[in-house]
Amino acid sequence: MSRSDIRYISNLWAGNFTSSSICLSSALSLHSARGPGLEACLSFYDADGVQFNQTMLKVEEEEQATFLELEPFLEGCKLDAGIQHCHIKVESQEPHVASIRLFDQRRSFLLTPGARIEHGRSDFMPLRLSLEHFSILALVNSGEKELEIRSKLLLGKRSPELAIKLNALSSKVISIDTEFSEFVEALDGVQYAYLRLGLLGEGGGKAFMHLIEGHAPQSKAGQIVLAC
Amino acid sequence: MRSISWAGFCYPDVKMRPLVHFFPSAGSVGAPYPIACKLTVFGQAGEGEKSMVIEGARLSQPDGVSLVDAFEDFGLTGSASGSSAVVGLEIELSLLQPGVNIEKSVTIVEFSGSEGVGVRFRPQKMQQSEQSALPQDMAESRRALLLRDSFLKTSLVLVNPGAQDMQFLGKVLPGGASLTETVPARSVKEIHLPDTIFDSAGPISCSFGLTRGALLDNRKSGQGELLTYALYRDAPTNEVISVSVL
Repeated sequence: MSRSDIRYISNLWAGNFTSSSICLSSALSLHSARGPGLEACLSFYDADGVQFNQTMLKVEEEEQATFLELEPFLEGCKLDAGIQHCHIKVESQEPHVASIRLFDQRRSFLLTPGARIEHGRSDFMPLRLSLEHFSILALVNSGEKELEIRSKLLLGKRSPELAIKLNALSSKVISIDTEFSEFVEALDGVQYAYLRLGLLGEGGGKAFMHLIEGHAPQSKAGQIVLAC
Repeated sequence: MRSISWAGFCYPDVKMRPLVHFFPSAGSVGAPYPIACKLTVFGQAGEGEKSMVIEGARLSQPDGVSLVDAFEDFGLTGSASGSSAVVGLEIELSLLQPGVNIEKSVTIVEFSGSEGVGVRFRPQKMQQSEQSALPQDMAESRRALLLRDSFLKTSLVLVNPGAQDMQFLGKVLPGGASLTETVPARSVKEIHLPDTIFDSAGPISCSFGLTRGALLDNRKSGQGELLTYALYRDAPTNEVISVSVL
């Protein structure tokens, strides 16, 4: 498949959590949206935007879908915030539907398309903060230009800010509990907060985000219970 | 644009703690002009609807409302608080200040699972009246991923916020099985998909067992809007764990 043949592109985020308390894997499902048979090129980019893997994925002629467990493909991926995670670009000549499932021994989630962050349009994410939960923000720059994202945590009367640089094609994970630890550690019980995000600077950058929440390792064996 | 609307759904179940979060935004305009948030819930056909206006929100400041607090028993026939029946939800943000466009605003609907962490989704924006003059027979098509295995099962929620009945037409690939459903005006329906629609989707072996996946080619006919959501439920507990907007 040459570059000029590519007409359909999907950008996804995937991660493998392999710490002693959280064990979560990713798998990619690829469906042909036109009929049986499909060939797609998968390119994997790390937290610096460096391509560390590439593979062709084929849906056989008599099939409509295929499924790829990603753990072996992420082996060469560098750790970022203790997680092996990446941006995956899926390219094909024919229309496809590609998505990521996160799973552990107990549950599985479909990562629904991430919320887009665009120039001139801020976005937000509600958070439920407590010492019992963790919240991880996964950000992907799907464009060819470096981006800077400004995130502001709105927690009561406080609003600490964080500027996040994303290299072209890179992904980054932000642990809300770590980045805003002085505010989270002072909480008594569960408190709602909002994270407001916007792109800094000029230009037509493209980014998207997922929020992954779960119970903190000390509370319920680190079970991840939501990805959105 | 001084008002903007979305249509989605929720469950009137106190235990699920349904919430609406909204972020009224006018891009670079940062002045905290007052915003009114009108929430309307409606059920299956004939169950009526109930509205409530929340004052006090401000432009550029995210805020949230508990739907249980706003509607108490939801007041819909057959959809009392505690019911697992789906309820349609319309969210309208409006601004009195002239010359400020709030079309960049965002809303999120949230409800909780038994694990105490929320499921969130962004409801679909409703077309504004000037954009809705589409040809009578225009059909729109989108594709939804349907999954069935020991972890996940899929259902569909169809929301018709308009004044006319709408017809949902779905074709499942592979196999070509058809799904049709009439959704009356101002009503909502949840369709629990039968396992038989996955009969033509060969099982794929994964480390977590066998999984079957299919695509739903999703069309609607008739003038108006029919908003479709795919719900992914935890198969053992039937809890919704993620929602995809089509």
